[in-house]
Amino acid sequence: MTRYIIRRLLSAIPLVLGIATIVFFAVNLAPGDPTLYFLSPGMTQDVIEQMRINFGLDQPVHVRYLRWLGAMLTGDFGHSISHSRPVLEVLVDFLPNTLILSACALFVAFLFGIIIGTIQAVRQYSIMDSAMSVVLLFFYSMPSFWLALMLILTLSLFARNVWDLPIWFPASGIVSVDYDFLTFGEKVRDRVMHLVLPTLSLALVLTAGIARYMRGSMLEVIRQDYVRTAKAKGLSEAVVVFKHALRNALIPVITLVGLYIPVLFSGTIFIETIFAWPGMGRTIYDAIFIRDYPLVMAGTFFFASMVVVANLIADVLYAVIDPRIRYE
Amino acid sequence: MMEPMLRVQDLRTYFFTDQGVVKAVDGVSFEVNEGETLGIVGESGCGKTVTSLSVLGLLPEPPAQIMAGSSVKFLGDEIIGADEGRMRNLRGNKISMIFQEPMSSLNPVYSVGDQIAEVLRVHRRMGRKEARDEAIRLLDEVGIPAPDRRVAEYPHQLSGGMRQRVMIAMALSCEPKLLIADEPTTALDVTIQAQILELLEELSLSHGMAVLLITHDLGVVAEVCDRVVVMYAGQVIETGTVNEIFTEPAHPYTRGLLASLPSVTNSGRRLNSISGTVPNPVDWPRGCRFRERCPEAGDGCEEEQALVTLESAGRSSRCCKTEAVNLTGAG
Repeated sequence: MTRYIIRRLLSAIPLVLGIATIVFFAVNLAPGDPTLYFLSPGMTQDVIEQMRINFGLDQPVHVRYLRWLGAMLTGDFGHSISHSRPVLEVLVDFLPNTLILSACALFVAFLFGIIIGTIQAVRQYSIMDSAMSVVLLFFYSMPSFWLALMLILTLSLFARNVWDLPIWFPASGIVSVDYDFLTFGEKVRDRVMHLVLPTLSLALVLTAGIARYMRGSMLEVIRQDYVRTAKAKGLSEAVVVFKHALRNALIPVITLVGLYIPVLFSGTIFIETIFAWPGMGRTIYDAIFIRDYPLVMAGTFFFASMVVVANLIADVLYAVIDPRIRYE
Repeated sequence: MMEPMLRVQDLRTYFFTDQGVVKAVDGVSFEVNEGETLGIVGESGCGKTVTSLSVLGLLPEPPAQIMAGSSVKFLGDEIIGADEGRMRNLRGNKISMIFQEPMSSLNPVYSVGDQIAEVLRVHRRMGRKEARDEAIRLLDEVGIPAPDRRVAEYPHQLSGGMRQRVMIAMALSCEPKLLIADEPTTALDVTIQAQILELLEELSLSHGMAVLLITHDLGVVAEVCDRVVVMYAGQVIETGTVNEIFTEPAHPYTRGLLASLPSVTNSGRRLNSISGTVPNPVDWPRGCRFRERCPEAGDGCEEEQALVTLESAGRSSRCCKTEAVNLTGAG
């Protein structure tokens, strides 16, 4: 098992280097010039040239690539042009927010997706199965930014102002304005409340996909001989389904962990904008338009690395669940 | 007469499908007595597997449905329509079952030890450690070498024969009164087949366990069974002791089956075959269901055939010509 993980980790190294290379050239080959951000009337060509030299943009592309790669390997991601401070500091400020949001969305999506898909499969063709299919198809078809707006409208605005519900969820930011004056318990609650709507907006679409996949996988597994064996042993239906069938049905679904991470990250760009969530998605989006090369490259590189890590986690989960992979 | 351990009476299991009602098992009756090995023989699609699954209530409903009037009594108690809790207490405990495909009958993601221990923990309320020790003992009993190492292995690390032994160990774990073995050797090669049969015979003797052996292989029947039930098209068409069935088959279908076996005396000659195939279970033919394939069909075969008791209580045949045939057959 340990050897398996080490082997997977080693094989991820060239992948990450490859990602760094592609990110660098993609950003540098794109049209636009970061100096344009500082352009102001009356600026002479000399000043612009000097600025280009300061940024190192006068060097040929391969020299810049090697310098960037060398610096990055030592943990130096350069200086953000738009934020006027080291890229690493910007990342430390914004990346955790995105990771928390993504992790919550992923967790919620898999938890509900797996449960719903399993129930649907076990009660195939029942009214519940059909009803869940319709609801899931609805969420699957709706774009997440529209869902986000509808969630704000119902669970935040109407819940508070129209229906007078005892509970409603904040529609923007990660904490309330009075956050600093709250007790520890209230702080936790405040953060959780702020997480609910953005998490739901991201998770609903994924839940629908995972449930769909889970249903199919489960339907296949509950027809297997070993499930009949489990029944013939006198086990209860809950044990048969959740112990014997579920673990087998999860094997193909784990693939989705790796597949959904990129979907999730691109989703965060919209969701963070709508919910004023100070995360990496929004930061990169802004940085792209300002041609803040160092920040775009570092941000993209981290997102891409997260995808590699997610696939690594999926690989390890495969081995945990399926002994046939473990011993290869 | 002693009450039989298992009495199946007029069992009818139908499948309700889009193509129509599949009458897979259509009025089957038989008995299994304490400690005996009863064989159910018949070709594919005759309803023998559905019969065995119906006994344990393992068929998915819907599409399957055990029709009203069917009765399965185990130790005198009716178990058709019994609640799930009671059925669970029987399954794996009083009545165990092993299946045709040892390759797919074990769960690939749990170790064989865990899978055996699970039965012990559910039915015999054993603790983790105790169940594991008992699992090792059971593996040893079914002839698996180095059981203390094998106990932690996963099904994919074992051969087909070994897996079937694990299935048997699992089935034996709670000392069941009855073991239902559904084609336990069909998927194995011949030498392993013989070993598994020998093991089953040995264990049924030492544990005083009755065996309901379902097979399409008459050779297997001859080797291990005491009595035989021959099924055709969802019905029992002949019953008798192994000796009776092999020496004086009463039904033309049984004779056809026996004639299609290779033997020392007819070597070099073409083997007999029964022409045609099993009729469509959605629409069984009227009258004798074997009529269209029967070389002896004639007057009276359009009538619905009853299972007629012959010389002794356990001897019966569903053919209107049985007696006439018997007379000529004796000559």
